[in-house]
Amino acid sequence: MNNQLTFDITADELDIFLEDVNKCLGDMESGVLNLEQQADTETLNSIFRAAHTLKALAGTVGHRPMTELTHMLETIFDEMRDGRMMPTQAVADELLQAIDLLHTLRDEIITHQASGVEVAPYVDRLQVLQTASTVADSPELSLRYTLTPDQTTLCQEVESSGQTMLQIEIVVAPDAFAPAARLYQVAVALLETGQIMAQQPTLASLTEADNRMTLLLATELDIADIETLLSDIDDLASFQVEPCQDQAPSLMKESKPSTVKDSSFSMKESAESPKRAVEHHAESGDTSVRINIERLDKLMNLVGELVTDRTRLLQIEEMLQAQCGKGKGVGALSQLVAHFGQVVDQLQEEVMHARVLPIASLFNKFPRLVRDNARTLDKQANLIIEGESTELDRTIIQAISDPLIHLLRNAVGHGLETPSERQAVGKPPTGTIRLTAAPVKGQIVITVADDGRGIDPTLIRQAAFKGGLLTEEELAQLNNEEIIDLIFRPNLSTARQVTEMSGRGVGLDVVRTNIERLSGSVVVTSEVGQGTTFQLTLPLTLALVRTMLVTVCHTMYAIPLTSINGALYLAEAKFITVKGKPAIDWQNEVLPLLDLREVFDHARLPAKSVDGSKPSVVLVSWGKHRVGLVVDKIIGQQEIVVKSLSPLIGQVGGLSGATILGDGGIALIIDIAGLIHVALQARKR
Amino acid sequence: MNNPLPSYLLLPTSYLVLLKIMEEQLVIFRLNNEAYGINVAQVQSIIPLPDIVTIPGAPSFIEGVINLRGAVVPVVDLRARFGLPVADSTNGRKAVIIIIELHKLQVGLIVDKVTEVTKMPASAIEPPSALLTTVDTAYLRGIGKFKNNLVILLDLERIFSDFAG
Repeated sequence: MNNQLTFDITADELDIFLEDVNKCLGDMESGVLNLEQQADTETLNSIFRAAHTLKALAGTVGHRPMTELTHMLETIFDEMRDGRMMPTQAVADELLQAIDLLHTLRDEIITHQASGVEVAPYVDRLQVLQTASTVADSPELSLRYTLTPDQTTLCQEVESSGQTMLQIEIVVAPDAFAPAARLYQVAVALLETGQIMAQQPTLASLTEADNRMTLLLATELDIADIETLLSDIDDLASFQVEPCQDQAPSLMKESKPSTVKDSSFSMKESAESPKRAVEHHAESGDTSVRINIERLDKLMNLVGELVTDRTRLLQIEEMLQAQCGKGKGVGALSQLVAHFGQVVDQLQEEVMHARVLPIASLFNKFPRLVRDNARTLDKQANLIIEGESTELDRTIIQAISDPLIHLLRNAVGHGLETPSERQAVGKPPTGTIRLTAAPVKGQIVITVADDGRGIDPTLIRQAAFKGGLLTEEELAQLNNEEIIDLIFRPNLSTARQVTEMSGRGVGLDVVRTNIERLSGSVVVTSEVGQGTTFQLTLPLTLALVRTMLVTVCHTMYAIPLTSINGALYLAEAKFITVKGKPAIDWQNEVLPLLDLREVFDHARLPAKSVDGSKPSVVLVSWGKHRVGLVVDKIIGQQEIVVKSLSPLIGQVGGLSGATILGDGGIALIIDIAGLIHVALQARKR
Repeated sequence: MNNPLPSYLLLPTSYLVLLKIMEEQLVIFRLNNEAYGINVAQVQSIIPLPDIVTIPGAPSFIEGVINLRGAVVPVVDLRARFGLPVADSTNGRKAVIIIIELHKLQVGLIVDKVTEVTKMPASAIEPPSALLTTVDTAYLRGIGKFKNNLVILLDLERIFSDFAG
């Protein structure tokens, strides 16, 4: 047997197709998770629509198993929407499993390899669930059929003739050998007692798959008689016989929804009709187009070139003005340059906007993650998400996914206590994890906070000592804040047992590295017994950065403005030495000095020459560290387009990339995090 | 197996392939008084030596980066890569840069001068021998004879594979 699968889709269409599929899957998953909290009509409508769309998508490419499974899901969501099925936790579990299976099936479309999973067992299980829960509740489903005008007249006649109208609902046991045959038997038995006014499904439309039936019976017998009759028939899971005289008028009106009075129906209708209007609106007002990310990146690069050119144009214009004044068309040039600058600014802003996504696209994955994680660990966790509409460059969103997953897992696994532990210390059994995103001063701050046991500094101290990370003497010098920061050190995590006890697992060093690679920072604060908070600070975009240009050893460097606190001439600084290392006193704060003229010295560079410039100090901060960087000269501020150094060069300590300046020169971009790390390590020695 | 191509097409195609195998077009440059050759297909452009920005902390054979029409492109000092004596900079070195493209990565090679672009028959190329060259034979594809001179053919893939991944 060949495992190769073929689908009716071309490679060109695949991207957009997958995007649609992923959106449906995402909607369904978040919808199902929502259902556990509250089953509102809006959620139900949205998951039903997602399932419906997905079924259609699967159908267009000819993925049979996927179509089958989504059809089943669609049915279930429809049942839920009509209130005939309750979204219990068991149902949600089953649904989530089915959604996972759909992910696997989706991958088949990408790889063209059969995953070997069978949908039939899932469909069967869902079917059983559907049957089981519909038995349990909702008597009002019997109102589901509509009466023809003839039947309505008949009903009225029957009533006037003194017979009673009974509404009967029958469900055949799921394990019955031939459910349809039983239904047939019921219908025939009832026919002998009176007149069947309406029946759903009718005998003619009865199929093998049917296992339930509702009837409207006009009879002279009373309810008890009918019940005895029905109890004689085998294999019935349940039956319900109710009088329905006063419902006949409402039944009659049901065919005209505009005058519906019955509350259950009016609710359903009113909930649905505005939705339809919204859908319709979305179709007619479809003003967006999809665009390939690669194309967007190219666009961004081109805008970057324009930004560079604008700076260059400004320089040329200034030069010309200095040489020839306003005459000889220089004035006109100035106007043009100014206008050009404005247009480039706007263009840049628009393109940047096209690259950002609300962070919800990432955060939406997390409720499931936290839920599953908590369930496997027998913990109770409630994830509260705030600020999911915060917008962030899509490359950054992609890059922070793993670090955030790691932090959330840690929060559930190590941060939160078990329900019994929590109750013992007087906390509610369900732990709270708060995930927030908010723009702060041109950056994005994301926090992951739990109300768990917190990190115990004494345990970290012990771990650091035992692991040989620091000596007792060194540890004594650190305050608790610095001690907690040690959890980001890779070698501490290897003392796994201890760190787990202290409330944190492995791999936080990877989180910090990944965030810092994005020119972001991570800070942790923790209070024993109160919980732990991780705060991630990230740039809005990676493509364009506002920087301060400086020269060091005749080479131009760019320092990201977001990490700069201030600048001063070296000559003005108040020098002090701390433990034999140079430092300065700045606004009553002692800042260690890092001389970039030494850090970035290089054998190939021309010998240091005095170029008459006054050395300056740029004050930068990273996380909790604050350092003064000594540079030869401060040039000024400039917005730059980040270009990576070639993979050929690899990672260079203290540098994160390069950029082309207005005059065609190159500036190297300083990676403050890397620089401070390098410097700290050098200092320790 | 049936060949989908009509037979009259087969002859010229194979003839072309044969030609390609038999003959190679090379860019010949000089480095430390030796002639080197690289396949012309790998060469993107040849430019005069621009300002090079040194990168502190980069591997020693990386001379620095240049601005190549808005792109930041690393340049490699082949002398350093091959362990040849470093050129005396006071000597007013009139170097040029050959820009090559390898796996979609642009790299500049600093060479003393480019002498010519020429075709070389496959029969003129011999396997590398340590006796004939000062360069590590692991970096060579072979040695060609050209106008009574020896041309060292570089294996660029090999030269950059060590660290391009």
